Amino acid sequence: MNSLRPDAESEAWARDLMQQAADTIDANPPGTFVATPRARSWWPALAAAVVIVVGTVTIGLGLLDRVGPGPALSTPTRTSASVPSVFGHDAGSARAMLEAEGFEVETEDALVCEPPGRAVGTSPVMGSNVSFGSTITVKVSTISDNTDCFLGERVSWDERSLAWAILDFANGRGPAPEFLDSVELVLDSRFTTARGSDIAAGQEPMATQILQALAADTALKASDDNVALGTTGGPEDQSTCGHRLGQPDYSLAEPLRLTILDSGAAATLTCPALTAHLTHDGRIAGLVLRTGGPSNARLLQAPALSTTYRKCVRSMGLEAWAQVFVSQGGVPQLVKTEPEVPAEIHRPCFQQIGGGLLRPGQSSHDTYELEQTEVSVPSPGWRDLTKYARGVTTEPPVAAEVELYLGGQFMHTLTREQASVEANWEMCAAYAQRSCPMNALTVLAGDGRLVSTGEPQGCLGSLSELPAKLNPTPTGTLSATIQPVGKRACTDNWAVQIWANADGTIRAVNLLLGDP
Amino acid sequence: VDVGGPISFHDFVAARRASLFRAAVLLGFPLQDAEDLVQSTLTKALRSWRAVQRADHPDAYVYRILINTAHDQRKRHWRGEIPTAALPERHERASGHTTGIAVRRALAAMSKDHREVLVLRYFLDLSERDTAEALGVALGTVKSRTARALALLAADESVRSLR
Repeated sequence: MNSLRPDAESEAWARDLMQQAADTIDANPPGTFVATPRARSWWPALAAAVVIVVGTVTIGLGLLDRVGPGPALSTPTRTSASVPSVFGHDAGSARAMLEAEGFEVETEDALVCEPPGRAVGTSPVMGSNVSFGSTITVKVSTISDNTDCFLGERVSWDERSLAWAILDFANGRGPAPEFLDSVELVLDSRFTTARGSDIAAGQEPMATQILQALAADTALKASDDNVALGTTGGPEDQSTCGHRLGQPDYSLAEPLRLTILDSGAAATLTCPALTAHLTHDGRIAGLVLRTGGPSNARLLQAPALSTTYRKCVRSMGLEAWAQVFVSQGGVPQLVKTEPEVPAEIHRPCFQQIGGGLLRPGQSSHDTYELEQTEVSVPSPGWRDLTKYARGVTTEPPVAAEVELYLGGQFMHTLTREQASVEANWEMCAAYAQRSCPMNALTVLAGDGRLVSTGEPQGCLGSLSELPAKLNPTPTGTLSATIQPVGKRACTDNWAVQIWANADGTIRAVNLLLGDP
Repeated sequence: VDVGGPISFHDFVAARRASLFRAAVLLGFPLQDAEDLVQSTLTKALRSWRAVQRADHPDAYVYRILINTAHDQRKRHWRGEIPTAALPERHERASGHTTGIAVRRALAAMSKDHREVLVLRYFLDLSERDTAEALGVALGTVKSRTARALALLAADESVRSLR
């Protein structure tokens, strides 16, 4: 066996060569962002940052249209104007904004899953070129007994209100939300921490510090070609171009998203500009901002952006995307990526918002009746296993023994003690053209998911090489099939099936993987 | 990374992002894909950060994520191009840059298994045991692959011309 061991000279030579090879690669790390330690004179920065965020996100776009160079300076009279976004404003402010543009204004109730009294859209939609004097109908959020947004169990209206407060803050029309004493900032994968104790001056300077960070390190610029609009809630994949972003995750999180839409394109919900994750009683524990720029240079260098996301954002002329994390009780929670509400439940609500209010050019947006969908909620075992897989809990939620299956084939049994070691969950078999080891915990830890009690969906590894049915039949009752949200390529598809006892302890786990 | 205490994700990224990126390129990923690979790796690491902190060797833990993620991302086939910001000098003595490019060409010509073991052992400086852990293979496999990969590297035409 000694012949297998390279001599020291060979190893030193190899190290030198590898280092020289590495030196030819410009890693171009973005550098560590250093937050301003103390916001001595923060109001100007706050104002600048607010202007930037305003320009980026929503309302400012209409204003920028007016002050920017263009026909208004050379054309004697204008007979029409673009409908500005009034998203998020109260009804009175929305009316004033539109009237200032020369429009007549009406309001109508919109049954949406948001706190009442907010403008959530217009008809004609924002970005439409409308003659002066035309009537713009402002859709104002309202709630009725028939509106079931399925938020009650997971997210309170107080949390939704907090989400809107963040939106107000970002748009410079409301006070700063409450931050933790230490706030993690992630800016194009540069990590830093803003500490309240450093500035020792309460919440507003903390907010200012964060906005300063955004202002200093981003070249946010509203594009005349894009319009911005916001939405809240909804399945992750519908607002992230089908790509799962790498945000930390919160077990009780409900996202607030702002979405930049291309007014010139036909009506598809495209990239997110901002996402806020909120939990009950939460203060903001972190904020992630992903930026690009008109030249795309920064965008292309931002490792936080996946290729899919990069293309999507670039196609829109790019502004920025941000998300806000909120902790539970002061400790940042890094748990999950989307609300743990079965997508079958959540989607009707979102589609109603999206179909009714978010799509420029869509004409049939007058109906807001929510479709009720019957969904059986599975036992809690799946959630506990996911939390364990992600390191949220330390004790595996398993019975005295748990059986592990791969593609329906029994692999081995773990005691509860053995199950507490992640490596023991590894399985290996000729299956789905995958390399060993395969591990259900790894899959659960690394991807978003939805849960259902039905059959696994999408293409999964052929069982032709394995018994068609689980062998042996697992003990316990099949309580959940966990799969990722949205359609997946076969290579990326997976499912984890769980058999649990009545008390939720897991008796068996079957991992299914897509076959490339 | 000094792990005298629980390392923060922030510190880890600051210390290791560039290395991860270079490793991804040496593993054969084009620059943009390497960025995505590193980002995916860090994202997964963040989600399992407690486990990373608990690991005996946090670096090895994250490198294993890198390798596994790299395997998952292989569906976009690398066609062998070696992007570089500067062209290699052709008529002068081998500079570090030309040597580096030659090594990358040699790596590109190797199998994935040999490339991975060289990157992990001699760029990321993992021990044989940690390399085995990261690759999910037996220690003996690492030894044999390393020996074979070194032999291939030494025998590579472009690398030999530099010695």
